[in-house]
Amino acid sequence: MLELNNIKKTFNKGTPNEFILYDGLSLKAEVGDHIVVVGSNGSGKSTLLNVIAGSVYVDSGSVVLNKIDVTNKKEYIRAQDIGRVFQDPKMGTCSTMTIMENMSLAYNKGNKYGMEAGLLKHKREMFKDMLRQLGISLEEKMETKAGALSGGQRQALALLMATMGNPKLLLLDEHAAALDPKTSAIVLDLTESFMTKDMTSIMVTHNLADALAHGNRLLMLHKGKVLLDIKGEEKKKMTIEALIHMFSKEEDVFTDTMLF
Amino acid sequence: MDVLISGIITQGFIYGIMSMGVIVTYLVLDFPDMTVDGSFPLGAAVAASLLLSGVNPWLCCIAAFFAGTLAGTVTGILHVKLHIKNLLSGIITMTALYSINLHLTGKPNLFLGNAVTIFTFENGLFAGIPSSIATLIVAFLIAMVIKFALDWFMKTKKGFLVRTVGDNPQLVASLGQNIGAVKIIALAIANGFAALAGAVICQYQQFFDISMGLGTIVMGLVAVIIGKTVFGRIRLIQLSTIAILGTIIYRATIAIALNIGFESIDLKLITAVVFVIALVLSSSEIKESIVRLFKVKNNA
Repeated sequence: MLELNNIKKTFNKGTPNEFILYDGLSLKAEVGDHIVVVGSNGSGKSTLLNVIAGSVYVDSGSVVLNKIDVTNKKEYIRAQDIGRVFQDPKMGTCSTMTIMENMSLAYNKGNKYGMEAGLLKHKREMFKDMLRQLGISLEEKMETKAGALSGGQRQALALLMATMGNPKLLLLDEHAAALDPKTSAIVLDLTESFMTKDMTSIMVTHNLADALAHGNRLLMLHKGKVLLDIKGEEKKKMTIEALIHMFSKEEDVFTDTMLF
Repeated sequence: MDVLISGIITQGFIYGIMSMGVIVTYLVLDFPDMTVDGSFPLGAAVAASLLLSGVNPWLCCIAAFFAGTLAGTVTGILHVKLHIKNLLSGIITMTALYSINLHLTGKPNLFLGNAVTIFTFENGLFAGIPSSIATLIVAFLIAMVIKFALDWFMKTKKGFLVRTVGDNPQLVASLGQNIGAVKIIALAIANGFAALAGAVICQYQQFFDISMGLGTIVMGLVAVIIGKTVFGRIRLIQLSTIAILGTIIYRATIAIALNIGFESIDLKLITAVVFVIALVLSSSEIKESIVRLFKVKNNA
Protein backbone atom coordinates (compact mmCIF):
# COMPACT_ATOMS: atom_id res chain seq x y z
CA MET A 1 0.00 0.00 0.00
CA LEU A 2 2.78 2.33 1.07
CA GLU A 3 6.48 1.90 0.46
CA LEU A 4 9.37 4.10 1.49
CA ASN A 5 12.54 2.91 -0.22
CA ASN A 6 15.97 3.97 0.99
CA ILE A 7 14.90 7.51 1.89
CA LYS A 8 17.68 10.03 2.44
CA LYS A 9 16.98 13.49 3.77
CA THR A 10 19.37 16.15 5.00
CA PHE A 11 18.18 19.47 6.40
CA ASN A 12 20.08 22.77 5.99
CA LYS A 13 22.37 21.23 3.42
CA GLY A 14 25.65 23.06 2.99
CA THR A 15 25.36 25.13 6.15
CA PRO A 16 27.01 24.69 9.56
CA ASN A 17 23.62 23.45 10.79
CA GLU A 18 23.57 20.56 8.33
CA PHE A 19 21.66 17.70 9.85
CA ILE A 20 21.26 14.26 8.34
CA LEU A 21 17.90 12.90 9.45
CA TYR A 22 17.30 9.86 7.26
CA ASP A 23 20.24 7.95 5.83
CA GLY A 24 18.45 5.15 4.03
CA LEU A 25 15.11 4.72 5.77
CA SER A 26 12.82 2.04 4.38
CA LEU A 27 9.32 1.14 5.46
CA LYS A 28 6.50 -0.94 4.05
CA ALA A 29 2.85 -0.78 5.12
CA GLU A 30 0.06 -3.08 3.94
CA VAL A 31 -3.65 -2.34 3.73
CA GLY A 32 -5.10 -2.81 7.21
CA ASP A 33 -1.87 -1.79 8.95
CA HIS A 34 -2.47 0.73 11.68
CA ILE A 35 0.96 1.87 12.68
CA VAL A 36 1.68 3.83 15.82
CA VAL A 37 5.00 5.67 15.69
CA VAL A 38 6.87 6.61 18.87
CA GLY A 39 10.26 8.15 19.37
CA SER A 40 12.04 10.98 21.11
CA ASN A 41 12.12 14.55 19.84
CA GLY A 42 14.06 14.83 16.61
CA SER A 43 13.72 11.13 15.83
CA GLY A 44 11.98 11.98 12.56
CA LYS A 45 8.40 11.00 13.40
CA SER A 46 6.67 14.09 12.07
CA THR A 47 9.02 14.35 9.10
CA LEU A 48 8.04 10.77 8.23
CA LEU A 49 4.43 11.93 7.81
CA ASN A 50 5.56 15.02 5.87
CA VAL A 51 7.61 12.85 3.52
CA ILE A 52 4.64 10.58 2.87
CA ALA A 53 2.20 13.48 2.42
CA GLY A 54 4.55 15.46 0.21
CA SER A 55 5.03 18.55 2.36
CA VAL A 56 8.71 17.60 2.51
CA TYR A 57 10.57 16.25 -0.51
CA VAL A 58 13.32 13.64 -0.07
CA ASP A 59 16.90 13.97 -1.35
CA SER A 60 16.91 10.45 -2.69
CA GLY A 61 14.92 7.25 -2.42
CA SER A 62 11.31 6.78 -3.41
CA VAL A 63 7.82 7.05 -1.98
CA VAL A 64 5.35 4.61 -3.50
CA LEU A 65 1.65 4.95 -2.77
CA ASN A 66 -0.79 2.35 -4.15
CA LYS A 67 1.92 1.08 -6.50
CA ILE A 68 2.39 4.57 -7.95
CA ASP A 69 5.71 6.35 -7.47
CA VAL A 70 4.72 9.70 -5.95
CA THR A 71 8.24 10.81 -4.94
CA ASN A 72 8.07 13.94 -7.07
CA LYS A 73 4.31 14.45 -6.95
CA LYS A 74 3.01 17.57 -5.21
CA GLU A 75 1.24 17.44 -1.87
CA TYR A 76 -2.19 18.34 -3.22
CA ILE A 77 -2.00 15.57 -5.83
CA ARG A 78 -1.06 12.91 -3.26
CA ALA A 79 -3.79 14.26 -0.96
CA GLN A 80 -6.49 12.58 -3.07
CA ASP A 81 -5.76 9.31 -1.27
CA ILE A 82 -4.56 10.75 2.04
CA GLY A 83 -6.45 12.10 5.03
CA ARG A 84 -4.43 14.16 7.46
CA VAL A 85 -4.95 15.44 11.00
CA PHE A 86 -2.39 17.71 12.67
CA GLN A 87 -1.52 18.43 16.27
CA ASP A 88 -2.93 21.94 15.86
CA PRO A 89 -6.73 21.70 15.50
CA LYS A 90 -6.65 24.91 13.39
CA MET A 91 -4.90 23.05 10.55
CA GLY A 92 -7.83 20.76 9.82
CA THR A 93 -10.74 23.20 9.60
CA CYS A 94 -11.50 26.64 8.19
CA SER A 95 -12.12 28.97 11.12
CA THR A 96 -14.15 31.54 9.18
CA MET A 97 -16.64 28.94 7.97
CA THR A 98 -19.42 27.20 9.87
CA ILE A 99 -19.42 23.50 10.76
CA MET A 100 -21.96 22.93 7.98
CA GLU A 101 -19.76 24.76 5.45
CA ASN A 102 -16.63 22.94 6.62
CA MET A 103 -18.30 19.55 6.28
CA SER A 104 -19.72 20.43 2.85
CA LEU A 105 -16.22 21.41 1.77
CA ALA A 106 -14.66 18.19 3.05
CA TYR A 107 -17.44 15.95 1.69
CA ASN A 108 -16.73 17.21 -1.83
CA LYS A 109 -13.14 15.92 -1.72
CA GLY A 110 -12.33 13.85 -4.78
CA ASN A 111 -14.82 15.81 -6.88
CA LYS A 112 -14.40 19.08 -8.74
CA TYR A 113 -14.70 22.33 -6.80
CA GLY A 114 -16.64 24.23 -9.44
CA MET A 115 -19.42 26.77 -9.62
CA GLU A 116 -22.12 24.63 -7.99
CA ALA A 117 -23.50 25.62 -4.60
CA GLY A 118 -20.84 25.02 -1.96
CA LEU A 119 -23.32 24.23 0.78
CA LEU A 120 -24.59 20.64 0.50
CA LYS A 121 -28.02 21.25 2.00
CA HIS A 122 -29.34 17.79 1.13
CA LYS A 123 -26.53 16.20 3.17
CA ARG A 124 -27.39 18.17 6.29
CA GLU A 125 -29.08 15.29 8.13
CA MET A 126 -26.25 12.93 7.22
CA PHE A 127 -23.69 15.43 8.56
CA LYS A 128 -25.72 15.78 11.74
CA ASP A 129 -25.76 12.01 12.21
CA MET A 130 -22.00 11.89 11.78
CA LEU A 131 -21.56 14.64 14.37
CA ARG A 132 -24.01 12.97 16.75
CA GLN A 133 -21.76 9.92 16.90
CA LEU A 134 -19.01 12.06 18.42
CA GLY A 135 -21.23 12.58 21.46
CA ILE A 136 -20.12 16.16 22.05
CA SER A 137 -23.29 17.90 20.82
CA LEU A 138 -21.63 19.40 17.75
CA GLU A 139 -24.77 18.54 15.75
CA GLU A 140 -26.53 21.41 17.54
CA LYS A 141 -23.89 23.87 16.36
CA MET A 142 -24.11 23.45 12.61
CA GLU A 143 -24.15 27.22 12.05
CA THR A 144 -21.28 27.95 14.46
CA LYS A 145 -18.00 29.02 12.90
CA ALA A 146 -15.18 26.53 13.44
CA GLY A 147 -13.07 29.34 14.91
CA ALA A 148 -15.53 29.65 17.79
CA LEU A 149 -15.21 25.98 18.80
CA SER A 150 -12.89 24.71 21.54
CA GLY A 151 -9.68 22.93 20.56
CA GLY A 152 -11.16 19.53 21.27
CA GLN A 153 -14.40 20.17 19.37
CA ARG A 154 -12.40 21.51 16.46
CA GLN A 155 -10.07 18.52 16.41
CA ALA A 156 -12.99 16.07 16.47
CA LEU A 157 -14.46 17.98 13.50
CA ALA A 158 -11.06 17.96 11.75
CA LEU A 159 -10.77 14.19 12.17
CA LEU A 160 -14.27 13.69 10.82
CA MET A 161 -13.48 15.93 7.85
CA ALA A 162 -10.17 14.19 7.15
CA THR A 163 -11.95 10.85 6.83
CA MET A 164 -14.94 12.07 4.80
CA GLY A 165 -13.32 11.57 1.42
CA ASN A 166 -12.69 7.89 2.31
CA PRO A 167 -8.90 8.21 2.24
CA LYS A 168 -6.90 5.05 1.76
CA LEU A 169 -4.26 6.35 4.13
CA LEU A 170 -4.80 8.35 7.30
CA LEU A 171 -1.88 10.35 8.73
CA LEU A 172 -2.25 11.49 12.33
CA ASP A 173 0.42 13.76 13.78
CA GLU A 174 0.04 13.82 17.58
CA HIS A 175 -3.54 14.77 16.90
CA ALA A 176 -4.68 14.16 20.48
CA ALA A 177 -1.67 15.76 22.19
CA ALA A 178 -3.00 19.29 22.58
CA LEU A 179 -6.32 18.20 24.08
CA ASP A 180 -7.47 17.65 27.64
CA PRO A 181 -7.58 13.97 28.77
CA LYS A 182 -11.34 13.60 28.25
CA THR A 183 -11.46 15.09 24.74
CA SER A 184 -8.24 13.31 23.89
CA ALA A 185 -9.97 10.01 24.74
CA ILE A 186 -12.98 10.93 22.56
CA VAL A 187 -10.74 11.79 19.62
CA LEU A 188 -8.70 8.60 20.04
CA ASP A 189 -11.86 6.47 20.26
CA LEU A 190 -13.08 8.08 17.07
CA THR A 191 -9.68 7.41 15.50
CA GLU A 192 -9.93 3.76 16.53
CA SER A 193 -13.26 3.48 14.70
CA PHE A 194 -11.51 4.40 11.43
CA MET A 195 -8.83 1.75 11.90
CA THR A 196 -10.58 -0.79 9.68
CA LYS A 197 -9.30 -3.67 7.54
CA ASP A 198 -9.45 -1.75 4.27
CA MET A 199 -7.73 1.36 5.52
CA THR A 200 -4.18 2.13 6.52
CA SER A 201 -3.16 4.64 9.17
CA ILE A 202 0.00 6.03 10.66
CA MET A 203 -0.34 7.74 14.02
CA VAL A 204 2.51 9.61 15.66
CA THR A 205 2.28 9.97 19.43
CA HIS A 206 4.41 10.92 22.42
CA ASN A 207 2.18 9.00 24.75
CA LEU A 208 3.41 5.41 25.23
CA ALA A 209 0.16 4.26 26.87
CA ASP A 210 -1.81 5.46 23.83
CA ALA A 211 0.75 3.84 21.56
CA LEU A 212 0.16 0.46 23.19
CA ALA A 213 -3.62 0.82 23.36
CA HIS A 214 -4.15 1.71 19.69
CA GLY A 215 -3.24 0.28 16.33
CA ASN A 216 -1.88 -3.14 15.35
CA ARG A 217 1.73 -2.26 14.62
CA LEU A 218 4.27 -0.29 16.62
CA LEU A 219 7.24 1.53 15.20
CA MET A 220 9.95 3.11 17.30
CA LEU A 221 12.12 5.68 15.56
CA HIS A 222 15.42 6.94 16.81
CA LYS A 223 17.65 9.44 14.98
CA GLY A 224 15.92 8.66 11.71
CA LYS A 225 16.25 4.88 12.04
CA VAL A 226 13.67 2.22 12.81
CA LEU A 227 14.64 0.85 16.23
CA LEU A 228 11.66 -1.41 16.71
CA ASP A 229 8.93 -2.69 14.40
CA ILE A 230 6.46 -5.10 15.96
CA LYS A 231 2.92 -6.11 15.10
CA GLY A 232 0.01 -8.29 16.20
CA GLU A 233 0.55 -10.46 19.26
CA GLU A 234 4.02 -9.14 19.79
CA LYS A 235 2.67 -5.60 20.07
CA LYS A 236 -0.07 -6.73 22.45
CA LYS A 237 2.53 -8.21 24.79
CA MET A 238 4.66 -5.08 24.78
CA THR A 239 4.74 -3.06 28.00
CA ILE A 240 5.53 0.56 28.78
CA GLU A 241 8.48 -0.55 30.92
CA ALA A 242 10.00 -2.51 28.05
CA LEU A 243 9.58 0.45 25.73
CA ILE A 244 11.22 2.79 28.21
CA HIS A 245 14.06 0.34 28.59
CA MET A 246 14.64 0.42 24.84
CA PHE A 247 14.57 4.19 24.83
CA SER A 248 17.10 4.51 27.63
CA LYS A 249 19.37 1.93 26.03
CA GLU A 250 19.84 4.46 23.24
CA GLU A 251 21.20 6.93 25.81
CA ASP A 252 18.56 9.37 24.77
CA VAL A 253 17.08 12.11 26.86
CA PHE A 254 14.03 10.53 28.29
CA THR A 255 11.30 12.67 29.73
CA ASP A 256 8.14 12.34 31.67
CA THR A 257 6.00 13.46 28.77
CA MET A 258 6.37 10.11 27.07
CA LEU A 259 4.56 8.47 29.93
CA PHE A 260 1.67 10.80 30.33
CA MET B 1 -31.62 65.20 -4.43
CA ASP B 2 -28.70 67.50 -3.92
CA VAL B 3 -26.18 67.12 -6.74
CA LEU B 4 -23.32 66.95 -4.23
CA ILE B 5 -24.91 64.07 -2.30
CA SER B 6 -25.86 62.12 -5.41
CA GLY B 7 -22.27 62.63 -6.61
CA ILE B 8 -20.86 61.17 -3.38
CA ILE B 9 -23.13 58.15 -3.54
CA THR B 10 -22.48 57.62 -7.25
CA GLN B 11 -18.73 57.64 -6.68
CA GLY B 12 -19.25 55.42 -3.65
CA PHE B 13 -20.92 52.80 -5.84
CA ILE B 14 -18.28 53.04 -8.57
CA TYR B 15 -15.26 52.89 -6.26
CA GLY B 16 -17.23 50.32 -4.26
CA ILE B 17 -16.78 47.89 -7.17
CA MET B 18 -13.02 48.24 -6.66
CA SER B 19 -13.41 47.87 -2.87
CA MET B 20 -15.27 44.59 -3.39
CA GLY B 21 -12.13 43.33 -5.09
CA VAL B 22 -9.95 44.63 -2.28
CA ILE B 23 -12.09 42.92 0.36
CA VAL B 24 -11.58 39.61 -1.45
CA THR B 25 -7.79 39.95 -1.58
CA TYR B 26 -7.19 41.72 1.72
CA LEU B 27 -9.76 40.19 4.07
CA VAL B 28 -10.52 36.82 2.50
CA LEU B 29 -7.21 35.93 0.86
CA ASP B 30 -4.99 37.83 3.34
CA PHE B 31 -3.07 39.25 0.37
CA PRO B 32 -2.32 43.01 0.32
CA ASP B 33 -2.59 43.40 -3.43
CA MET B 34 -0.86 46.53 -4.78
CA THR B 35 -1.74 45.54 -8.35
CA VAL B 36 -4.96 47.52 -7.90
CA ASP B 37 -3.06 50.81 -8.30
CA GLY B 38 -2.23 49.66 -11.82
CA SER B 39 -5.31 47.65 -12.74
CA PHE B 40 -7.72 50.50 -11.91
CA PRO B 41 -6.13 52.88 -14.48
CA LEU B 42 -5.67 49.87 -16.79
CA GLY B 43 -9.44 49.51 -16.90
CA ALA B 44 -9.75 53.23 -17.56
CA ALA B 45 -7.12 53.11 -20.32
CA VAL B 46 -8.76 50.15 -22.03
CA ALA B 47 -12.19 51.76 -21.84
CA ALA B 48 -10.98 55.21 -22.96
CA SER B 49 -9.04 53.98 -25.95
CA LEU B 50 -11.83 51.63 -27.07
CA LEU B 51 -14.51 54.31 -26.56
CA LEU B 52 -12.62 56.77 -28.72
CA SER B 53 -12.46 54.20 -31.48
CA GLY B 54 -16.23 53.90 -31.32
CA VAL B 55 -16.76 50.69 -29.40
CA ASN B 56 -20.01 50.24 -27.45
CA PRO B 57 -19.43 51.63 -23.91
CA TRP B 58 -20.77 48.48 -22.21
CA LEU B 59 -18.43 46.32 -24.26
CA CYS B 60 -15.62 48.65 -23.14
CA CYS B 61 -16.51 47.85 -19.51
CA ILE B 62 -16.43 44.11 -20.18
CA ALA B 63 -13.09 44.42 -22.01
CA ALA B 64 -11.70 46.43 -19.08
CA PHE B 65 -12.85 43.73 -16.65
CA PHE B 66 -11.00 41.04 -18.59
CA ALA B 67 -7.88 43.19 -18.89
CA GLY B 68 -7.98 43.50 -15.08
CA THR B 69 -8.31 39.74 -14.58
CA LEU B 70 -5.21 39.35 -16.75
CA ALA B 71 -3.27 41.80 -14.54
CA GLY B 72 -4.38 39.90 -11.43
CA THR B 73 -3.33 36.63 -13.03
CA VAL B 74 0.15 38.03 -13.68
CA THR B 75 0.50 39.05 -10.01
CA GLY B 76 -0.74 35.61 -9.01
CA ILE B 77 1.76 33.83 -11.23
CA LEU B 78 4.63 36.00 -9.93
CA HIS B 79 3.64 35.05 -6.38
CA VAL B 80 2.70 31.41 -6.84
CA LYS B 81 5.06 30.18 -9.54
CA LEU B 82 8.08 32.43 -8.98
CA HIS B 83 7.63 32.56 -5.18
CA ILE B 84 7.85 36.35 -5.01
CA LYS B 85 6.37 37.84 -1.81
CA ASN B 86 2.75 38.92 -2.14
CA LEU B 87 3.37 42.65 -1.62
CA LEU B 88 6.26 42.67 -4.11
CA SER B 89 4.35 40.70 -6.76
CA GLY B 90 1.67 43.40 -6.73
CA ILE B 91 4.20 46.22 -6.87
CA ILE B 92 5.96 44.62 -9.84
CA THR B 93 2.74 44.25 -11.85
CA MET B 94 1.64 47.75 -10.86
CA THR B 95 4.94 49.20 -12.10
CA ALA B 96 4.72 47.34 -15.40
CA LEU B 97 1.12 48.45 -15.89
CA TYR B 98 2.13 52.13 -15.82
CA SER B 99 3.95 51.69 -19.13
CA ILE B 100 1.29 49.40 -20.53
CA ASN B 101 -1.41 51.95 -19.73
CA LEU B 102 0.59 54.66 -21.52
CA HIS B 103 0.96 52.37 -24.53
CA LEU B 104 -2.78 51.77 -24.59
CA THR B 105 -3.76 55.43 -24.56
CA GLY B 106 -0.73 56.83 -26.36
CA LYS B 107 -0.55 59.83 -24.04
CA PRO B 108 -0.82 60.54 -20.30
CA ASN B 109 -4.33 61.93 -20.49
CA LEU B 110 -7.33 61.60 -22.75
CA PHE B 111 -10.56 63.56 -22.93
CA LEU B 112 -13.51 61.47 -23.94
CA GLY B 113 -15.21 64.62 -25.21
CA ASN B 114 -18.49 63.83 -26.89
CA ALA B 115 -17.98 60.07 -27.10
CA VAL B 116 -21.04 58.08 -26.08
CA THR B 117 -20.54 56.54 -22.62
CA ILE B 118 -22.71 54.46 -20.32
CA PHE B 119 -23.69 57.79 -18.74
CA THR B 120 -25.01 59.35 -21.97
CA PHE B 121 -28.76 59.82 -21.45
CA GLU B 122 -29.90 62.03 -24.30
CA ASN B 123 -32.99 59.97 -24.91
CA GLY B 124 -34.37 56.57 -24.07
CA LEU B 125 -34.98 55.03 -20.68
CA PHE B 126 -33.90 58.00 -18.58
CA ALA B 127 -35.62 60.77 -20.56
CA GLY B 128 -36.92 63.41 -18.17
CA ILE B 129 -34.83 62.30 -15.20
CA PRO B 130 -32.07 64.69 -14.03
CA SER B 131 -28.76 63.38 -15.31
CA SER B 132 -27.23 63.24 -11.82
CA ILE B 133 -29.98 60.85 -10.73
CA ALA B 134 -29.75 58.80 -13.92
CA THR B 135 -25.99 58.54 -13.38
CA LEU B 136 -26.57 57.42 -9.80
CA ILE B 137 -29.03 54.73 -10.95
CA VAL B 138 -26.60 53.36 -13.56
CA ALA B 139 -23.72 53.30 -11.04
CA PHE B 140 -26.00 51.59 -8.49
CA LEU B 141 -27.09 48.94 -11.00
CA ILE B 142 -23.52 48.11 -12.02
CA ALA B 143 -22.46 47.88 -8.36
CA MET B 144 -25.44 45.60 -7.61
CA VAL B 145 -24.68 43.26 -10.51
CA ILE B 146 -21.10 42.90 -9.24
CA LYS B 147 -22.27 42.57 -5.63
CA PHE B 148 -24.69 39.74 -6.37
CA ALA B 149 -22.20 38.03 -8.67
CA LEU B 150 -19.58 38.12 -5.90
CA ASP B 151 -22.06 36.98 -3.23
CA TRP B 152 -23.03 34.07 -5.47
CA PHE B 153 -19.41 33.18 -6.23
CA MET B 154 -18.44 33.12 -2.55
CA LYS B 155 -21.17 30.52 -1.98
CA THR B 156 -19.98 28.17 -4.72
CA LYS B 157 -17.55 25.33 -4.13
CA LYS B 158 -14.80 27.37 -5.77
CA GLY B 159 -15.74 30.31 -3.53
CA PHE B 160 -15.48 28.05 -0.49
CA LEU B 161 -11.91 27.24 -1.53
CA VAL B 162 -11.09 30.96 -1.86
CA ARG B 163 -12.43 31.51 1.67
CA THR B 164 -10.40 28.57 2.96
CA VAL B 165 -7.11 29.45 1.28
CA GLY B 166 -6.80 32.73 3.17
CA ASP B 167 -7.60 31.18 6.53
CA ASN B 168 -5.94 27.78 6.23
CA PRO B 169 -4.05 26.97 3.03
CA GLN B 170 -3.07 23.55 4.43
CA LEU B 171 -6.73 22.50 4.36
CA VAL B 172 -6.95 23.36 0.66
CA ALA B 173 -3.93 21.13 -0.01
CA SER B 174 -5.38 18.38 2.21
CA LEU B 175 -8.55 18.51 0.12
CA GLY B 176 -6.42 17.73 -2.93
CA GLN B 177 -6.68 21.20 -4.42
CA ASN B 178 -3.93 23.45 -5.75
CA ILE B 179 -3.43 26.37 -3.33
CA GLY B 180 -1.74 28.51 -6.00
CA ALA B 181 -4.54 28.12 -8.54
CA VAL B 182 -7.12 29.23 -5.97
CA LYS B 183 -5.05 32.33 -5.13
CA ILE B 184 -4.68 33.22 -8.80
CA ILE B 185 -8.45 32.98 -9.36
CA ALA B 186 -9.13 35.32 -6.42
CA LEU B 187 -6.52 37.84 -7.61
CA ALA B 188 -7.93 37.75 -11.15
CA ILE B 189 -11.46 38.47 -9.90
CA ALA B 190 -10.32 41.27 -7.58
CA ASN B 191 -8.34 43.04 -10.30
CA GLY B 192 -11.16 42.52 -12.79
CA PHE B 193 -13.36 44.48 -10.38
CA ALA B 194 -10.71 47.22 -9.98
CA ALA B 195 -10.37 47.57 -13.74
CA LEU B 196 -14.14 47.67 -14.20
CA ALA B 197 -14.34 50.45 -11.58
CA GLY B 198 -11.60 52.31 -13.49
CA ALA B 199 -13.54 51.95 -16.75
CA VAL B 200 -16.73 53.28 -15.16
CA ILE B 201 -14.99 56.18 -13.35
CA CYS B 202 -13.26 57.19 -16.57
CA GLN B 203 -16.64 57.38 -18.34
CA TYR B 204 -18.14 59.19 -15.36
CA GLN B 205 -15.38 61.86 -15.46
CA GLN B 206 -15.13 61.66 -19.28
CA PHE B 207 -11.42 61.78 -18.68
CA PHE B 208 -8.45 59.44 -18.43
CA ASP B 209 -5.32 60.37 -16.56
CA ILE B 210 -2.27 58.13 -16.19
CA SER B 211 -1.98 59.02 -12.49
CA MET B 212 -5.63 58.31 -11.68
CA GLY B 213 -4.64 54.99 -10.10
CA LEU B 214 -2.42 56.57 -7.50
CA GLY B 215 -3.64 55.60 -4.04
CA THR B 216 -6.45 53.35 -5.28
CA ILE B 217 -5.42 50.44 -3.07
CA VAL B 218 -5.19 52.76 -0.06
CA MET B 219 -8.70 54.02 -0.77
CA GLY B 220 -9.94 50.45 -1.09
CA LEU B 221 -8.28 49.42 2.16
CA VAL B 222 -9.64 52.44 4.05
CA ALA B 223 -13.12 51.74 2.71
CA VAL B 224 -12.91 48.07 3.66
CA ILE B 225 -11.64 48.82 7.16
CA ILE B 226 -14.26 51.54 7.74
CA GLY B 227 -16.95 49.18 6.45
CA LYS B 228 -15.77 46.36 8.66
CA THR B 229 -15.54 48.59 11.75
CA VAL B 230 -18.99 50.12 11.29
CA PHE B 231 -20.99 47.23 9.83
CA GLY B 232 -18.86 44.15 10.57
CA ARG B 233 -20.90 43.15 13.60
CA ILE B 234 -24.18 42.87 11.72
CA ARG B 235 -25.05 39.19 11.56
CA LEU B 236 -24.90 37.57 8.13
CA ILE B 237 -23.87 40.81 6.41
CA GLN B 238 -22.18 40.11 3.09
CA LEU B 239 -18.58 41.22 2.54
CA SER B 240 -19.71 42.96 -0.65
CA THR B 241 -22.18 45.10 1.32
CA ILE B 242 -19.45 46.03 3.80
CA ALA B 243 -17.19 47.11 0.90
CA ILE B 244 -19.84 49.28 -0.79
CA LEU B 245 -21.07 50.96 2.40
CA GLY B 246 -17.50 51.55 3.59
CA THR B 247 -16.64 53.22 0.30
CA ILE B 248 -19.66 55.52 0.46
CA ILE B 249 -18.72 56.58 4.00
CA TYR B 250 -15.14 57.20 2.87
CA ARG B 251 -16.26 59.31 -0.12
CA ALA B 252 -18.57 61.28 2.19
CA THR B 253 -15.71 61.92 4.64
CA ILE B 254 -13.56 63.30 1.82
CA ALA B 255 -16.41 65.46 0.51
CA ILE B 256 -17.09 66.85 3.98
CA ALA B 257 -13.39 67.65 4.46
CA LEU B 258 -13.31 69.52 1.15
CA ASN B 259 -16.55 71.28 2.03
CA ILE B 260 -15.25 72.62 5.34
CA GLY B 261 -12.31 74.28 3.65
CA PHE B 262 -9.57 71.74 3.01
CA GLU B 263 -8.01 71.97 -0.43
CA SER B 264 -7.76 69.16 -2.94
CA ILE B 265 -4.00 68.98 -2.37
CA ASP B 266 -4.82 67.89 1.20
CA LEU B 267 -6.80 64.86 -0.02
CA LYS B 268 -4.03 62.29 0.48
CA LEU B 269 -3.26 63.72 3.90
CA ILE B 270 -6.92 63.43 4.89
CA THR B 271 -7.00 59.88 3.52
CA ALA B 272 -3.99 59.00 5.67
CA VAL B 273 -5.64 60.44 8.77
CA VAL B 274 -8.93 58.66 8.05
CA PHE B 275 -6.92 55.45 7.50
CA VAL B 276 -5.31 55.76 10.94
CA ILE B 277 -8.62 56.53 12.63
CA ALA B 278 -10.32 53.57 10.94
CA LEU B 279 -7.50 51.22 11.94
CA VAL B 280 -7.49 52.47 15.54
CA LEU B 281 -11.25 52.09 15.83
CA SER B 282 -11.17 48.62 14.32
CA SER B 283 -8.66 47.38 16.90
CA SER B 284 -10.49 45.79 19.80
CA GLU B 285 -7.52 46.29 22.15
CA ILE B 286 -7.68 50.06 21.77
CA LYS B 287 -11.45 49.99 22.19
CA GLU B 288 -11.03 48.10 25.44
CA SER B 289 -8.37 50.48 26.73
CA ILE B 290 -10.67 53.45 26.03
CA VAL B 291 -13.47 51.71 27.92
CA ARG B 292 -11.07 51.00 30.82
CA LEU B 293 -9.94 54.63 30.84
CA PHE B 294 -13.52 55.76 31.40
CA LYS B 295 -14.12 53.11 34.06
CA VAL B 296 -11.11 54.30 36.04
CA LYS B 297 -12.36 57.88 35.90
CA ASN B 298 -15.84 56.89 37.03
CA ASN B 299 -14.49 54.94 39.99
CA ALA B 300 -12.28 57.80 41.14
